[in-house]
Amino acid sequence: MRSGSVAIVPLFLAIMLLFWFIAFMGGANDTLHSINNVKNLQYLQTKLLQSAMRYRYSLEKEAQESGKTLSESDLTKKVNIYINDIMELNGIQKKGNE
Amino acid sequence: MKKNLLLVLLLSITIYANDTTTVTKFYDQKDIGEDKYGNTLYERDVKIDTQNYSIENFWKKFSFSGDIQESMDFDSISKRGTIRISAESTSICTIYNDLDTQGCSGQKPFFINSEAIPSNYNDTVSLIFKNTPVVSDYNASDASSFYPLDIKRNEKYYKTQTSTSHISYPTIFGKIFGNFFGDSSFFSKFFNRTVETSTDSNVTDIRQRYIANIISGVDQEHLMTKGSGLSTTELNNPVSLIDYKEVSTTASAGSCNMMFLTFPADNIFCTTMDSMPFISLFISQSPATASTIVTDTIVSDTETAIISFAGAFVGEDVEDYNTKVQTNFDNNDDVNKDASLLTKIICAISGCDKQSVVKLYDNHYNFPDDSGITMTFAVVDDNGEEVADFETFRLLGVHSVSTQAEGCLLIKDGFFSSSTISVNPQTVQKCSEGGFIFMGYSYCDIKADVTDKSSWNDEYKNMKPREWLTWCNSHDDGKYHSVGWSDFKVQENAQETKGSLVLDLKRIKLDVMDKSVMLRYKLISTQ
Repeated sequence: MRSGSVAIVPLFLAIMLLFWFIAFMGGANDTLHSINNVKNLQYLQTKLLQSAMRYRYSLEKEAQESGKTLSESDLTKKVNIYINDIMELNGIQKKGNE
Repeated sequence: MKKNLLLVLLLSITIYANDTTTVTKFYDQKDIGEDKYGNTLYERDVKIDTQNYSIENFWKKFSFSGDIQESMDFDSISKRGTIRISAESTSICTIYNDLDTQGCSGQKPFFINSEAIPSNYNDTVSLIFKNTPVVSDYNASDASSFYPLDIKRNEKYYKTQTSTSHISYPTIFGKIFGNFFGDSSFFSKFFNRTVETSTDSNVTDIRQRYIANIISGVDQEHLMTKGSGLSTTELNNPVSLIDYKEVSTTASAGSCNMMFLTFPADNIFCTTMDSMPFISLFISQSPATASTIVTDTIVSDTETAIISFAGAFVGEDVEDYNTKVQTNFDNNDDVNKDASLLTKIICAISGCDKQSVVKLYDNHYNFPDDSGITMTFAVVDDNGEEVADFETFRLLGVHSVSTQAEGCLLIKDGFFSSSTISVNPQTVQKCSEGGFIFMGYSYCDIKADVTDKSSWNDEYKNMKPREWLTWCNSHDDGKYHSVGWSDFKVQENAQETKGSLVLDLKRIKLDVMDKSVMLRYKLISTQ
């Protein structure tokens, strides 16, 4: 029982540290968040490069199989919508949308 | 005025900019040739540019001061990268994209000689399937054959049923054969045949691996590369010649009732049906006339796997096969025909030096133009020792071929002497193995040809093969008949039936937009 009450001290400390961290992040400098956000976005973009290419060829092939031809601008438009949707799912929104 | 214009321009830019967030730009596609596995490689740059976007600030909710921004705005952040696209020949992964692609590739377990490659893209060639269990059978200058290979395969890509959450390879094989034949147990029926190998290997395993390699391509762990050695002594190590054959059977008399392809039961066609490996699978009863049938299971496996897979790919089944198949008959009386496909087939099946009257039955099935499966074959070097290159073809059609060779066995009226009159009297052949001399008379094995025709009457000396057979038919009465100095009696009107497989192929270069290719993408660099 006694040893149990001693063990609760580091736990309290840990919880306090967590609160402090959240408060620190909340009040942290905008630049810190900005760098973090840019890095995250670039990571997401890198991941999406391959998806964009894959989606483009699948669209082109699908169209070809059904006997249609998609123009370059049609294709780009469709890929843009597709990539945009993923961006929005990841919290990347248009300015003024929030 | 200028100020107003500028304001309008600025406003319209702002409005336009607000409409776009992420723009994807594709650059020109570059053809960078082939990789070491025979796939065609392309590279293309793509750029994702995210403009005028904002990100909600998650931490703002926890700020004590409350002066932090709710969200952050950015003007433009972009990333450009180069994607390498590899186009590979058709495999089941092209049809079922849920399958683990590590078990697929464009490489098929076949090889050809460089002589078999047509000189230009889009040229066609007909290749005969030929099995060479030993390398001494292999003809390095054979320009009209393709050969099977045994290539190692990870068990999970053909045997193991993996967990239910993931589609497994055996399930898909069942589907392919099930869709084509309307019978999902069809694949397992295959392995009931009696098959032997010259080694002690598990023949069912070799066959399953071979069929799986045809349908899904060699798996990624065991891909052949330019320079891969072909083992000729040890099976499956990792690339070797394949070795199995069916124990040959003599079909007994019966009728020619088939599930499809209806012919009169007494038709000569029926007697040859059983030697067509693919067709024979549908014969419910044995042929009408007893005949010696030489069937090779490996031909049957190759044919069934290719037709079922290519059929599944274009959405055709056994009904379509039945409707579309064209049966041709060719009676090759003139054995000295030029190097036509027929002659090549006969050479491949019966050997070029064995001259006989051959009837040929050809069941020809064409796949729709330019949408059939594509296959990448290994090209071996002149010694047949290693893979020198790869070549890709589109499958245009499959010929299920059966040949019926007729010969006539005559017995000379003499002591211990018997000979076959085969069909080309100009060809003088020595006694085959097993011949011996006894008391001054030469005894030839019954398969040996008549060696000396100098004492024959002229009318017999120069008889053509077909004329000999006609003579045999009209003199098949058990009595001796004079052909000059000697008398002969017809002992047997021999027939031998064999099956083979011929593929009509078009040499192609794999293109990303081709329906029959599977594409793999890889990000190779970013800027």
